[in-house]
Amino acid sequence: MRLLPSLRGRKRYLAFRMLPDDADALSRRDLTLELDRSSQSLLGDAGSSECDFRVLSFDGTEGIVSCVHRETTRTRAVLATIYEIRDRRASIRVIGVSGTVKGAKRFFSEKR
Amino acid sequence: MMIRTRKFYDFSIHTAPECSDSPEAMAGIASGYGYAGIAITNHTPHQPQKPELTDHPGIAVYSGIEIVAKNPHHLMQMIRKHRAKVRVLSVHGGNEKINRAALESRAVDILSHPDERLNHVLMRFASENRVAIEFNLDSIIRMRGRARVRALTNFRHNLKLARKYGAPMILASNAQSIYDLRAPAEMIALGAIFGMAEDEAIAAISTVPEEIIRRGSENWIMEGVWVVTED
Repeated sequence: MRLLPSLRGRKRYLAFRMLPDDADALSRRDLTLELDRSSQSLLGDAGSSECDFRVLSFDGTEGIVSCVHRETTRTRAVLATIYEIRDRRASIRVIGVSGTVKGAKRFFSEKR
Repeated sequence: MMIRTRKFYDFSIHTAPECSDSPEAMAGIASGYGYAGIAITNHTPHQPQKPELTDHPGIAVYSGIEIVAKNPHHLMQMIRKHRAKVRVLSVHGGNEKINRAALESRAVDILSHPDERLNHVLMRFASENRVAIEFNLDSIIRMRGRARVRALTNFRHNLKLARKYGAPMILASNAQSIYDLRAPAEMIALGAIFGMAEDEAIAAISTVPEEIIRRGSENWIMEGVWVVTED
């Protein structure tokens, strides 16, 4: 349902990069499932709903997660507690936080 | 932002020969994450890392050791044996007697994963002897469910007492592979999970490790007194 732009909640977009960076085998769905599991165990239902994060894009190595603008710390913590995706070791590093998707995308072009 | 201007360190990292990843690989990843220095602290049957493996551009790799001792007497022997050889000396905690002996010794830099709720007496020792209490974030990262709840409650308790008695705190990854390393901002976020304020968390990965390194340098004489060289 459409909502007035002024009534939409404020968001932050977290650009992240995954290790290993050759993981073409991982899909957005794998990451979403693992993220749900991780937030479920760290924050529970109530905490996860407060953060309200979702995976906007993920190409196997880089992606963007959105969350409620005041909850970046907790979202970061949830991303940091991911240590295994589909039985393969992995770790996620947030490379930048922005208020717009466009701004978040800029972090990918910066140096590694 | 405060985060950008600081230097960050991770002082609890295990590498080859104890684990599979080489010190160079660890240093490379840590450097990419924005660390200024790491210490390789393998457990004691392994020898300390050769000092000054600092040919990596952009990151300092300090020699360290994590002492695993059977009893306090054994711990003291090990400290005497290794102290002069390493910059960062941490003690593999977890046992009540070992924890106490480690905190009573001035020669110890870090009490690694105490795994229990320390009391006011031990915390006061930690504060007087400047032994940093480690919060090993691998337990938050790797564990789930009840085990993690217990770890977090212990962290909360130790955090409260460390604040009260001014004991140094250190956040460390206790990494066993490159996938266990986390960037400084993630470490701070994980610290917030058990109630660590942002400035405390920043101190725990910057000023506290810096103090340890300063203490290990040859210009250091005693607490508050060191030789200032001109450069």
